[in-house]
Parts: sequence; C-alpha cells; structure tokens
Amino acid sequence: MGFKDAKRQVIECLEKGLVSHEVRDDIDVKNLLAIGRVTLEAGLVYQVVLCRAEQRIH
Amino acid sequence: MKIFKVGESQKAACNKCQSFENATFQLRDVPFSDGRGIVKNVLVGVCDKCDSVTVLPHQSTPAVKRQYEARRKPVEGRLPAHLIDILNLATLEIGASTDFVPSMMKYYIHKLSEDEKAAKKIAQYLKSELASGRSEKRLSLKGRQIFDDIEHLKALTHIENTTDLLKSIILKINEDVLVKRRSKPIENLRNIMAAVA
Repeated sequence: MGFKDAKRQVIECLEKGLVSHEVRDDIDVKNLLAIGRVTLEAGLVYQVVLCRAEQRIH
Repeated sequence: MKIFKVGESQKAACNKCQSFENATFQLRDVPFSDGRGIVKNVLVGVCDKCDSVTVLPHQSTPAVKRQYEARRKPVEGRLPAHLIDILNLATLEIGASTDFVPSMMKYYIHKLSEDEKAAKKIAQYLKSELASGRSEKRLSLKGRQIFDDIEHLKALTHIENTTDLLKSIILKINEDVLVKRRSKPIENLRNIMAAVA
C-alpha cells in the first residue's frame, strides 16, 4: 500500500471513528488520542494538514 | 463507529507474542504507563494466547480520559481570611449560599482564561491593600478543567504563583460583584447558580 492510499485510509478511519489503540499491558499517557486529550477531529486535522510524505503512518 | 461488546473479538498485534493474535474484549483494570493510576473495569481487547491486554477500543476513551483527569490534584492556595469573606459576600449578593464559591471561582478562572484582554488587567489587583494579610484560610478547587485553565491564565497574566493568581481573581470578583455591581457578570453568575443549585 502506497503512502497516499495509507493516508486516505487513516483519514477515513478517523472520520468514521474506526479507531483502536495498541496497548502493551498499560495505557500510554503519551498517546493523546487514547487518553482523550485529543479528539478524533483534531487527529483528522493533523493528518490532512500537517502530515508530510517523509513521516510513516502507524 | 464500531461498538464492541464483551465477548466479541478481533485480530490485534500482541507485543508479548510478537504476532497478530485473536483478542477478545473483556472488562479489565489497566494501568497508565506512567504508573500513576489505574483505569478500572474498562473494555479492552485481551490476547487469547497470552492473556495480556493488547487493544483499547475508541469507545473506552471517555472512561480512560475521566480516570486520567481525576488524577490531578486540586488547585489550592492559602489566603487571608478577608478574601474568603469577600467570596462569601459575593455569593450572598447574587442570592446563593457559600457552597457556590467554588463554582463562582471556576467560572471566573475559565472566563478569564479565554479573554486575554481582561486577563492582562487582573495583575493590578495585587497592588491593592486587600491583596495583603496573613494567610490563615485555604481555598481548594477541584475539577477536570481547572488545572488547564489555571496554567493558561498564569501564562496570560504572567502571575506565576498560584496563590497570587487566586488573590487577583478574588479581587476581580470583588470589583465586579460587590464594588461596581456590574449587571452582566452578576446575571451570568445567577444563571450558573440556578443550573448548579
């Protein structure tokens, strides 16, 4: 899957709330989406506006 | 949005197994990574193979957020007794009981944190005679938003000390409610009082 396709899929998932967070036995407090400090809408803005080609999407 | 039920499952990456495994959704107690607290009885995906927690569905985020924010200590300050009296008099003026003091303070803190122009003016109250005195009483404010609002207000006002910030807010309330009897803040406070009574 190329970067554009991956980005499109991430945006679609953020729009629809189809999001789960990886947990490694504990909840990472640095994951601001997981602890609710950042909303899905804010995450969507990040993806659309700020995400650059050289960054990997997880 | 996909809502998961207890007993449902999905494939998820398991860090312990180092592979994608089936994870079944259950209610579990899960700690925060910084060691400061546990989210109790929250829906998470549990690896069927090794029984470790591997997935936090988005529907569990509000419960996680609530627990994360509950860890915060209250905002507190030791203040001269007359400043607490000012707050009590202000509640009397608007027709409330002294139980309304925390709500009134939180309203002003939030309102000022969103009004840079008004916030920048409150430092002047620290020069007032009423700002001084022996600190013999304590004011404690709890709430999910209070900590962030206080930090933001400190940045706007350049008042670093929490107690000084609380003093300046109380003297702002004094001016609005008791001295100048400004109708708009008094009306806003009465509306809030009606909502929380």
